[in-house]
Amino acid sequence: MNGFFHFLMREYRLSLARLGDHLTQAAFFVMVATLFPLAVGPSPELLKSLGVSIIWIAALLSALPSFDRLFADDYRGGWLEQICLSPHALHAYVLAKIASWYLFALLPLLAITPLLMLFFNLPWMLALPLITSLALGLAALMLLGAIASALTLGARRTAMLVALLVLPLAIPIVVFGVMAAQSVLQAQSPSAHFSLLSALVLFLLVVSPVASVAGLRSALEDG
Amino acid sequence: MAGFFDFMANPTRFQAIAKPLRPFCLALAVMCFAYGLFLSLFASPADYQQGEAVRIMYVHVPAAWIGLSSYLGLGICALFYLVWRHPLGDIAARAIAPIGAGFAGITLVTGSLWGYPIWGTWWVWDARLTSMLVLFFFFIGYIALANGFERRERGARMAAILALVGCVNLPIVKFSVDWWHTLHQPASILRSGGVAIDSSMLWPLMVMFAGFQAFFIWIVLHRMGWILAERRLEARLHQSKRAHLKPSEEQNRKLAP
Repeated sequence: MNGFFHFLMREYRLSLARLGDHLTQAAFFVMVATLFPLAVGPSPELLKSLGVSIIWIAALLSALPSFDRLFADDYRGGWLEQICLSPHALHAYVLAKIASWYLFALLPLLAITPLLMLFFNLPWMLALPLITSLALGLAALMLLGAIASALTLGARRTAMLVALLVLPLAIPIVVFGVMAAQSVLQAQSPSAHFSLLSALVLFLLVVSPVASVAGLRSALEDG
Repeated sequence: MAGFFDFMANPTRFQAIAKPLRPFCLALAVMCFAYGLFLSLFASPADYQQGEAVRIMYVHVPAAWIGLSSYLGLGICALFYLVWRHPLGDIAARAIAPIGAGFAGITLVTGSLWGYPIWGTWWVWDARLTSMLVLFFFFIGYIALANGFERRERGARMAAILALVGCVNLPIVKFSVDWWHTLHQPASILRSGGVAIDSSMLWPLMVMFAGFQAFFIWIVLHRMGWILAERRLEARLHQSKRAHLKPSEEQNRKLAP
């Protein structure tokens, strides 16, 4: 596992250089959420009932476009081949990539979520469940994104393809995530939804590295 | 079992068996459709609640079964392609994908036509309808990924991995009715506790199902034949191009990126 931390440090340094991209992503998150009140009208009750779903969809949409670049730079630069030659397991690399991308690209979205809650008149007691549901949901989405990113390496329209592959698989994540936060708003127990959401994360944590590594290997075989 | 698939993996041998099978499948499909349509449109009773609208079932339910099972077929072909690298696995998967998408589409359209007179709405966000729609998206995603690469083998392998990941969706579709029981009626044929449908309706349904299945096999075998012929043609063209090149040009071709 020491390879894992080695890769994690590398990704950390790289993401410092990529800070601008990640900030753009966060700005996109706010912009998408801003469009909804303009489209459905400024009624406070309506926005309050739609708020959780809108924040969720905005987070999903702003996370998606970055996924096609997850492995693309390392693939083009020959770094992936170097890892295959080195004694470090490809699994450690994939896991480190997923973890670092999650930490540096997706967690900033969570930091802005309280601001968006103001936009939609959501009560503060919702902050913790909403951010927890987003944290779990984005982790699951990240794991799906890794599969799609590995499978589309070297394809023609990668950004479109990744969206096409991830969105149908992401449906249960959105359903359980929104229901978890929404049930708090309706004064019900959210524990069942949180359990299902966590189960999805754990399940994908097993499936995603295997499928991603298979995708990367096959991309490397063809060169 | 594996020996049988090794035997069939040779395209020529496969074609030798598949070609004579095709007219049988077509004849079976035509006969079943003729008899099944007669049974379902004239010789079966109207439902006591739904009236004549129940006859949509004889298209809707077999189409849904074929749509679901063709995704399972896609997954099995993908597995054979990934594990044993049989090129026929990829060809079969590519042949199945658009047909499966078509049947999933038929299911959605007929379900919508059936839903309007009975439920009073064309579409509800019920678990079963949604998961059928998702299945349709899966087929689209598979087709897009399989054709999304410059090199075909690459698309084949990537799409095969996707098909296996997507197979997780199949049990969700099948059992979603029992899990999130909402507007769509629960399963009435394959369920614990026996069949909950009268034999006067079950029989035409089964005949129609046999017709759909025969039609599905016929069209998939046909499409596999097309794809095989296409690949042979490509290989021939490639060979003849090579043969006509002068040695110096051949050298240049090799050096070119």
